[in-house]
Amino acid sequence: MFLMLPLFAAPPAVRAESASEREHKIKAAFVYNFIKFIDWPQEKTPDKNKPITIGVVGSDTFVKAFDPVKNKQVKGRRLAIKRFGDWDKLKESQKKNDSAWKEKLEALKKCRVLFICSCESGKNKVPVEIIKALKGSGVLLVGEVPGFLEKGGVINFVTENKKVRFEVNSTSAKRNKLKIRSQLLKLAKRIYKEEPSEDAKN
Amino acid sequence: MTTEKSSVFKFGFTLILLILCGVCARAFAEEARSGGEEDFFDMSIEELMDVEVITVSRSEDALFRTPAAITVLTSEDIRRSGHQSIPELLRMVPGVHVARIDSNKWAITARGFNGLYAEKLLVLIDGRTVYTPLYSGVYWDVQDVMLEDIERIEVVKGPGGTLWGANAVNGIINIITRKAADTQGTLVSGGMGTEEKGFSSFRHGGKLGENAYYRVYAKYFNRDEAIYSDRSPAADSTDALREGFRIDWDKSERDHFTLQGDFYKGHSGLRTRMTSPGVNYQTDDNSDVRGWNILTRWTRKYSDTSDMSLQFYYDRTERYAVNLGESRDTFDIDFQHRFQLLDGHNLIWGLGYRHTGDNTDNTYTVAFNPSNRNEELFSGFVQDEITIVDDLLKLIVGTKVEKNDYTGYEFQPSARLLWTPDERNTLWASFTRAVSTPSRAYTHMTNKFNSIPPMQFIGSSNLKSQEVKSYEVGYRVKPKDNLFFDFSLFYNEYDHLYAQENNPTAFSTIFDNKMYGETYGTEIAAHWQVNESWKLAGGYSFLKMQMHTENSSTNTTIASRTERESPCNMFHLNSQLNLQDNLEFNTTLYYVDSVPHWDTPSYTRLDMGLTWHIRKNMDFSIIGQNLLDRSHPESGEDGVIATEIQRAVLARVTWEF
Repeated sequence: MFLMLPLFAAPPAVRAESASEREHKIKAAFVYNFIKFIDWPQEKTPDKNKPITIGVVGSDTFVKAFDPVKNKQVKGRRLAIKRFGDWDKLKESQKKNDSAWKEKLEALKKCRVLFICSCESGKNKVPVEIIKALKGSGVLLVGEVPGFLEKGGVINFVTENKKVRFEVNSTSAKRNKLKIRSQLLKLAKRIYKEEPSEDAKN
Repeated sequence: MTTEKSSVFKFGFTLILLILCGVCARAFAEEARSGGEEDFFDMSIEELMDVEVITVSRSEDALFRTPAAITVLTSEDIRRSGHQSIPELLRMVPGVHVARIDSNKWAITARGFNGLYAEKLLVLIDGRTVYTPLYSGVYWDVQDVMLEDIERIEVVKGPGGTLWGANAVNGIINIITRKAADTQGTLVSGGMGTEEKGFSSFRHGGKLGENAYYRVYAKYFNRDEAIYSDRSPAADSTDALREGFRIDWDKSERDHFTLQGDFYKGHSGLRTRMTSPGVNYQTDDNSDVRGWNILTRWTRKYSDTSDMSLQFYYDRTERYAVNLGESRDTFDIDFQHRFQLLDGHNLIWGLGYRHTGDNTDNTYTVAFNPSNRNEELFSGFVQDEITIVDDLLKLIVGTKVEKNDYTGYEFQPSARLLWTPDERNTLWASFTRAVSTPSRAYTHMTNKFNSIPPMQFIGSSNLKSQEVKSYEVGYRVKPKDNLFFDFSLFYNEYDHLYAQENNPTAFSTIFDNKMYGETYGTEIAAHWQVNESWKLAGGYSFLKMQMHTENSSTNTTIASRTERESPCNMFHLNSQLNLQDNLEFNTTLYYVDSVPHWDTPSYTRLDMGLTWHIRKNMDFSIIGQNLLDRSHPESGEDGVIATEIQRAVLARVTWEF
């Protein structure tokens, strides 16, 4: 507190945590790699002409990190990015439960992967609302905040010694009918399994 | 003139040398990645897991968005610099003029008005104000900590009176040590050299409980005497012993307590001249210095945007020499609270009280009247950070109000505008008013010259505060992830500056406020992470001073003297290079213009250091300082006889376990 910087600049902490573009470029590359090791069994005969959609919740600066994905292909299919904007705005719309939200929800469910940034308006809070809305919908929910897995997310990024690591909720993966190959699982820092009774308790 | 030329030559020569070093470095480190975005997408997960994020830390980001001319020295900068003391470290800050007078005295300032008794800086160590109320300057010989435990040194050039109060006229230096939790384990460090004859430090950190950590430390150094301009040995040998501790306790998620204290004891040698018409002799002396302090702080965090802190400290200093004897006790209590008032208003306010009492000796040359004095300072401040456009435009306005025993109430307002169009650009502008209130020396001191007829200069109780109105703009830009530039421009208007005037009662001069003037200048800093193993940092500053005296002033020399007391141009370039995984090569080149008042020619200084990481936690360093010449002066006679800065070599071992 008596340090000068917080006094002089007193930037809201929110802003401060957001800065690393590099970190998000790395995470975007991780997400691209995940797709190679995950199967969506409900797509038994995937349409090769249809792209695999990666949804991104977060401001445009972070969505930019996913730009290189557009030129990539996985399993012979193109990749597409769908922006959903800030989490806060999404949440407001969800509260109102208006037609705009219903449209959004449909679009969210069409994504194969949804990456939820927790760096700005979300500020280190678990996006419980989105997770609930997409429970069991087959979307690979990727987050970057402590507690993301416990609330039902599938893959969560953590930073350890300045390096990016990920952890997996295997129960949630099953619930979403996602098949995560063992090559990927064995690289996870932690595999989290939900207690069977947890759902009942909630 | 020839010295100027040879200095320019040396400067050019070493610059070429540095560039050559750089070329070699590139060859050494060619495997370094360019870090482009496509790279990540070509990597496997295993490879990605090995990439460092280099997360921009909160303080780094805050630094980028600070609406003031700020420079931060990191612990890495400090470790790699090879410097052994806090004042020497400040050489690396663009715009800060460090002139070493002898082996224990420095003249340090930013933006002009330098001298042994420079009195326009506010210096803090872990929240404790360390400039002396005796003359508002800093006794640099006793401002020390274990350098390995410094987390960072923040230096703000320009006034910061609104938050920090009186004396923050030309700058603030804030030395911040690491939390006890970050200094666990044992560290032993020691070495010897041609000038730093012997130095050693020891620190041990441990756990006191579930959430409480402590450290204790001790350090000692013995510094060799320097030489005078005629190459005779100087009388300035120095030694000091220092011990201290720090405890940090996270009582809960939101409550944090700190308790820390230091004790020190040392000897600082010097030679002074007793002079006046007809009399001229020199005398050697040794200041016996001693002091201790204890500080406690409680911080409570309510949310990301709201917290409060309450701090108390007691500080005792003693200094005894032939010409000056002083002991002083200071009690200080400070409260600060930060919160969000309305949407878009981040408010910070605080209250402070300081009591300082001194006891001075009536010496052969100096007398204070009264010889003992207690002073009180009451202060309060409020500052509002107003978000005008989210994430884009902010206005920060505030003022400090202080009541002191010399001039009564003082207002120190400021307004700062901060424009942050994106993550790579920051533009700021500010207007600030700050004051330096009169001090004991300028008010109550009589300096007796032993002369015939007797002459003296005396302090004045009618002094007003010295005032600055400062207009600043600054721009920071990160054109690439590995490149950073920081520009600042300032125009300062000073008024009521101290100058000695003829005293009608004859044979004496008396202090008055009849000088005024303008200064302007710029500071530029650049950082370039050339590749993974090579970092370059540089700084340049320019200063122009125009001083005037009022028509009624009888002092005909002070204006031109003040103008000629600070160098116009300063430059430095620092290279931090990792030759191999376990070998570091650090080089710094400094250039400082001539200081006409002191008759010191411009100089170029080259420091080089090689550090070998013998084992994971063991380093061995060889450091060469001032390699380009045998010795050179950085300051002239200014109260004490100045020595020259000699070429020096030292070796250092650091072991952590």
